Amino acid sequence: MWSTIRNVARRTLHGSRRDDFESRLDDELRAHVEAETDDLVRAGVPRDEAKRRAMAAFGGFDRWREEARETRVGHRLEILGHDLKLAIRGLRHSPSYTAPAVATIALGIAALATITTLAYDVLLRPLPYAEPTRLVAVYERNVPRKGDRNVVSAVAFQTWRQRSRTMDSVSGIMPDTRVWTTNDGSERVSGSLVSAGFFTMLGVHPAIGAGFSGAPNAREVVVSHNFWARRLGADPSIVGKTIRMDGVPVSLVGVMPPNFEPVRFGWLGDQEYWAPLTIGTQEMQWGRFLLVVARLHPGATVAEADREAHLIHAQLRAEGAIADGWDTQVFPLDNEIVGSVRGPVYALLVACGLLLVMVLTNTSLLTVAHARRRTAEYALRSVLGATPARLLGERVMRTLALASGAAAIGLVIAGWTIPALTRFLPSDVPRLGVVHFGATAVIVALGAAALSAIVLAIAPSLGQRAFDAATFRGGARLTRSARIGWVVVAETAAAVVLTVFAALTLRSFDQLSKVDVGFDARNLIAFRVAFEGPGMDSVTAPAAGRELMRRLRALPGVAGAARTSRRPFNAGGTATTVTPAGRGDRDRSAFPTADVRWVDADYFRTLGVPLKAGRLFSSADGPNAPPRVIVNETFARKLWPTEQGSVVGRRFDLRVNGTPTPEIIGVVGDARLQSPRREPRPTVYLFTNQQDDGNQFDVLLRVNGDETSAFAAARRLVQTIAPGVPLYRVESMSTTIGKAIARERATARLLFFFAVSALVLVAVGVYGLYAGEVSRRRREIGVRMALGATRRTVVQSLLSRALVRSAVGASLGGVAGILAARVLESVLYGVRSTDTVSFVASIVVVVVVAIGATLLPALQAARVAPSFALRAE
Amino acid sequence: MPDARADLLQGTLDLLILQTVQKTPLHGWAISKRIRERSADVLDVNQGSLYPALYRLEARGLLAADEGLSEQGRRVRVYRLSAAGKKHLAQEIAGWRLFSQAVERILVPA
Repeated sequence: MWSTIRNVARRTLHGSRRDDFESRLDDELRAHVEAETDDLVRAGVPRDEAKRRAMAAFGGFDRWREEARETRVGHRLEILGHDLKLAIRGLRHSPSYTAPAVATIALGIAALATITTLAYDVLLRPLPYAEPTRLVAVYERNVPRKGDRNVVSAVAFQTWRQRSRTMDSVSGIMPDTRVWTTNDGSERVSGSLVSAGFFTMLGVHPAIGAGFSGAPNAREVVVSHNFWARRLGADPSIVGKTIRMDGVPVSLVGVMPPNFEPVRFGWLGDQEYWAPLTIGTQEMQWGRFLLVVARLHPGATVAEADREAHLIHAQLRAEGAIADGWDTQVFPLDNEIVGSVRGPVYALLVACGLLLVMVLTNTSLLTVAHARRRTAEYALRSVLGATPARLLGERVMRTLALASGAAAIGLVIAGWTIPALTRFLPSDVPRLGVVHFGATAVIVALGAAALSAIVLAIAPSLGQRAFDAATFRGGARLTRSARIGWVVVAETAAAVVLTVFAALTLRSFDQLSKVDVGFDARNLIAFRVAFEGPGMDSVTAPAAGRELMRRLRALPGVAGAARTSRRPFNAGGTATTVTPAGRGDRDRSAFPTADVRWVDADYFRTLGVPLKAGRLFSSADGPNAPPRVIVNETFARKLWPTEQGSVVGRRFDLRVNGTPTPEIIGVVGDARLQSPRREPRPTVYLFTNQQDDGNQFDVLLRVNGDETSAFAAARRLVQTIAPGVPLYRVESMSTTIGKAIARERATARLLFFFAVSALVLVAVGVYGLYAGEVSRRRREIGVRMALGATRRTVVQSLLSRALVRSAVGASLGGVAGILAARVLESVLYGVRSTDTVSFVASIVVVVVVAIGATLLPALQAARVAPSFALRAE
Repeated sequence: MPDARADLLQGTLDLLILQTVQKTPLHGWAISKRIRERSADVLDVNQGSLYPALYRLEARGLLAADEGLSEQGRRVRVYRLSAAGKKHLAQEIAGWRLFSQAVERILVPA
């Protein structure tokens, strides 16, 4: 049965049964020779001689057979199958070539597939919303301060909603947190407040439930699929019912689909729930606090929306609804969501591409060496009648088989490295959840495999043609090795670029981790607490706060405890324009913006922020005392640029919660509050004793001993003082800093890994090249030594050639590096992309590795005995 | 002594083969022998070209092949002209006549 199927299949493939054809052809050709012989015998030639002549007249039997065969249908397919079989057999018979070649290409393909998957899924895969290219983010912008992407005031937001013709549904969004209480205790979950039309604008609807009703002041909530599954027991009947958040009943109106991606940009974190955003009269009084997303009207472009927003703002300025100096910015939403990772991802892509170039140069060198070992075999076969096309076909088939095998292995590796990479990258990298092994990896792997197959098939013919030419043009041997030598130059150049990338990002990361943040982050832990909910009112809540701080200070192992409205590196927060007292409202935008923080008396001592002038807050600065503040040095310098002496005692306009012009009682050292990357900003510290900042605050503890037990003790304390109030954002300050620079660390590590791979490839490639050359030129070296060359000159000649090549390669790499390192510009901190130290160090390292790899073959050359020349004759 | 053998003009081999098997079906060797004899040993078909040409003509449907036996008892293929081959041959012959007359006219001194 099976053989019948096989025969049928074969007949359809080949047009006729192959064995039949072969035997018929043999018969026919033999009959020809026999007939010719008989003919000659009849003419009087002895039979033996006749047979010889007949055979001679016929010529190369096999070649005619080959030509006759080629006319047949299916011949090509048959050759293909045969070549493939031959290719695989050939590869299996030379493991010393196949194994390293397949392994190198497989690793190169795995790296490329992994990084391109990351790049595609994060940067290019359309956002999972309806017509995502029509979604934009709208910001305000302060022109005199050269500001960028400022959050939006309620006034601007409401006006855009009413007046814009280019933007259809303008939605506000802002982060929010709420307490979720279960029998096991309570915790704070994060979500966001969004305009009622938010999901409709995105074109994504709850999987269960109708979504927001749009009724004013509706107490409604939509939750994520994960929230529903984990906290609500995946109960479909719960939708439409009431749940309690923050101890307040809210109506659950929807559960989002499992694959819904929350809109994350600006300082929006992960979101487990969404509640309607209400803009009332109170919100209209607030400053700027909203992130705004809108859908472009069909046919409208981002540029048109941008122009219109400018016009609307001009109207608002003319109407006096917003201050002078404020303008707008409109950007595509996808850019806002993933724009921050573009630089590092591009750098990784470039690195991967270069690595693939090196992989190909290395395997080309291997292939050339391998082909050289087989020169005799090829020569024999072409004499026996194999056509050049046939031999090339075989070679292509072999490299194709090799590259396909490597691609398969590479994909298996990528299937493991892609999830590993998503775990390795910091979790705040946007869209990490959609990065999956898939079509991108497969397509890239196949493309890279095809490219490898072509390059490897061509590589030996570069060497080969030079060889043929050399055979006829006596003395042309050098050209061949020289031509292949240039491959090493390209490889060295690529290695330099990769090493430069690693050096730049490592130096940048080093700078970043050594940044003086202005306070001592070691042994400093933080948590946030909100005395809100049942049993908490305007009397009990502040009392609970004071009680907590008092008892925290008494805890064993706690050297200091401080409260602040916003801990360092929690970016954003209250900020306002400050002007010297008595300037009035003119040109306020020309004056600096200052971060405003509410702190208690122990804040500066606990954090280790030094006092530079004046005094710290004390019990003398009570609620009834005149308003007093402490500022940082940058504040003093920015507000009074010409002041040489102390600014203690000066007053300025601070329009926060209607604070009148406060007096500066002290100046403290600068601290980076926004991010370790960002220069200290002007900062005003208000005293919590003097001005109430609400019942939600961060607590910072300076601990002597174990951080975990300090957290546990703090949690117990809060439970005693206010049962049901959770601690959240529980984290040590060093962890916070670590997270803040996690992307830089991850980028530096990945690029470092690429650089190490590059150096290994250079070492292997250079070693292979010169080792091959020395073993081929043993006789020549022997002759030279017999003629008086010393070991030293032999070693020198090899080393100097290697030095010239790697120097040329390194210089080219340096130039390419200057161009390529531009993609890193947005990533680097404290290091320019043309950093001399990084470039010089990289070039030196690569050249040293290349020379090091030449040393071994050079020493082998030196050990060639002059007698070798004689013996080899 | 000038070589009495002429090289085959490009494309004439097909014509010669088709013409040779026009009357009687023949096998490969017989075709080459017949061409040699009829041309008085001037045209010697290279076997290396003969068999590829036979297979090519067969693939194009101009020749048909039957199983037969050689004088030595070997299994051989006996080629005969197919209907399409007959038509093609007529065209080829007409084309050749035109060509050779033209060449002849140029060679005869005016």
